[in-house]
Amino acid sequence: MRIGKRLFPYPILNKDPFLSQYKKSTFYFDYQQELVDQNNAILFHINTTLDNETLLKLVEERKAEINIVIECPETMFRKKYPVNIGLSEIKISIGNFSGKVYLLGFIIAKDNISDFKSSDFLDFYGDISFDIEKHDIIATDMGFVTKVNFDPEDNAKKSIFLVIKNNNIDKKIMKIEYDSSKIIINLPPEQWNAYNTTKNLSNLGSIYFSMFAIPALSFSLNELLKIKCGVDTLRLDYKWFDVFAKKYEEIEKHELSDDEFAALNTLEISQKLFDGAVIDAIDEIFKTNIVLPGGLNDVED
Amino acid sequence: MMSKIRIKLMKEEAYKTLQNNSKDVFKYIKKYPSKAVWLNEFLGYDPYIEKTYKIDDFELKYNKNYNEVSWENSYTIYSHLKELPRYILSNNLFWAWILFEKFYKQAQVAIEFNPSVISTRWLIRVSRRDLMLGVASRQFFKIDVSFAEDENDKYSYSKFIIDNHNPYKNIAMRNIGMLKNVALPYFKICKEAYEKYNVILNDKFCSSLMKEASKIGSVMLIEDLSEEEVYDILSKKMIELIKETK
Repeated sequence: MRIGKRLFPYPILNKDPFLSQYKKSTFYFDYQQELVDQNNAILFHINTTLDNETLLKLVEERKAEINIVIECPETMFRKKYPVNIGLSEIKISIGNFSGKVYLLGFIIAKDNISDFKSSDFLDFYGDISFDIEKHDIIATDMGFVTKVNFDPEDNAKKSIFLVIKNNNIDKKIMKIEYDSSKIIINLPPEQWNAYNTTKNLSNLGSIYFSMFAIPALSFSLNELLKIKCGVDTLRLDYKWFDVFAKKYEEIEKHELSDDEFAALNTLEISQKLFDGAVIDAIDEIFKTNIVLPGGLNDVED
Repeated sequence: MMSKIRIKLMKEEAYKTLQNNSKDVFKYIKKYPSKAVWLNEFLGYDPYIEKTYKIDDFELKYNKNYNEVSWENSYTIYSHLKELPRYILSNNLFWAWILFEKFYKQAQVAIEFNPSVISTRWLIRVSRRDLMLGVASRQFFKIDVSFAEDENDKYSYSKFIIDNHNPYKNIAMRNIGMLKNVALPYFKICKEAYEKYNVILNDKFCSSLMKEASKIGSVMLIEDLSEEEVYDILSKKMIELIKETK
């Protein structure tokens, strides 16, 4: 239930001043969250602020009510929670969430309100008053979006890549694609079998990173650059990008900013993230084929 | 009495492999219609990960005319799975396990079976709509969305939409369909229209009702309305739609 830039037939108090039809009044909420009940629930600490006299009076008289709507589209969870001005708590079982979770604030009419007027309406409303119907939204804060990726059995770090076989690609091509969760490397079946058989051999690690992971990550980052979206949004929309951003922060010792992302050399950063795997791969190939017994340098006496 | 089993999820790489080779998947299902014995060999590994959540094991009925067993199967699936947390029930990897291990034979007759449904209804994307319309997941969500705690027959709407797909299909298209105070009055109206007024529940009728429900949410916080209030609004729309057809 995201209002966005929707127009209402009466003045709305919006946290976003560009969308608000009030001059100075404010309505907004902040929140913090913590895991409770042995990590089985999230406790949201909500702090709500409202400073418009008319709306405050309506809330006091119970003709209006402040609600926080919490929605998780992936699990189809959506529920409203009445809250007070000031501090409130909302506890929800963590199993209800997966992926993005939206917290939205509303003040809604709990009864029909005739002659609704505020001295803080924008000037062009003049002296007009409005009839508000029960359930109408009269104030809104489009709030926050957070992420909950919960699996109590899933403590192992997962790769952001999947390497799969695909019968529908050119037999001489490796195809890269990505979705919200992973970067997917498609190989022709024969080559996938070869990879699958040898992937755990320790001396091939850097070689496979060079062939698959580095170009795949570089390609996927370039594709995201074309979308021209902020880093924060991309981190919410793409789990693999969020992992990349965390790793970037570890290496570069600061968060990835929008400007930095726009100017990113994706091939270089991908190599950095994989700890110079291309260079290591060259060394490994040289060692295996030239230096070690059986290699070109191994000359029979 | 059936034993307890641990639920499983299909591995992500297995799921993606099947998605990207959907034509092969269709061929293999045609070749092995009774059980998905081909999966391990096709993938080159066990496709599933076991989780710690346990459920009572269950078996589903098969009939070439799926309507004969649709209610019973949906009820079996719903009653066995309803206590699982939402993040499992909304996971397409969980439904892939249910589909290939429990619902494999039935899925081939539950809806029209052709190469395109492998991508659209068998190996669904991560989206609410796909979840509600997936061939296996819909068996659960049809009851989940229509279960009426306060009615004498809690499953009256469920049985109705299992026999009449259009009302369910149209609610699956809209986000507000996840709200019980919208879904239950909507199903009640559809049932009334069908039983009392002999209305044909085609897409036009059902989608017009859902559009009316969506309009409520244009200035109101729709979840604040009671079921009765939503029912009254949709009832007026139903009468209007009936008059238009006469």
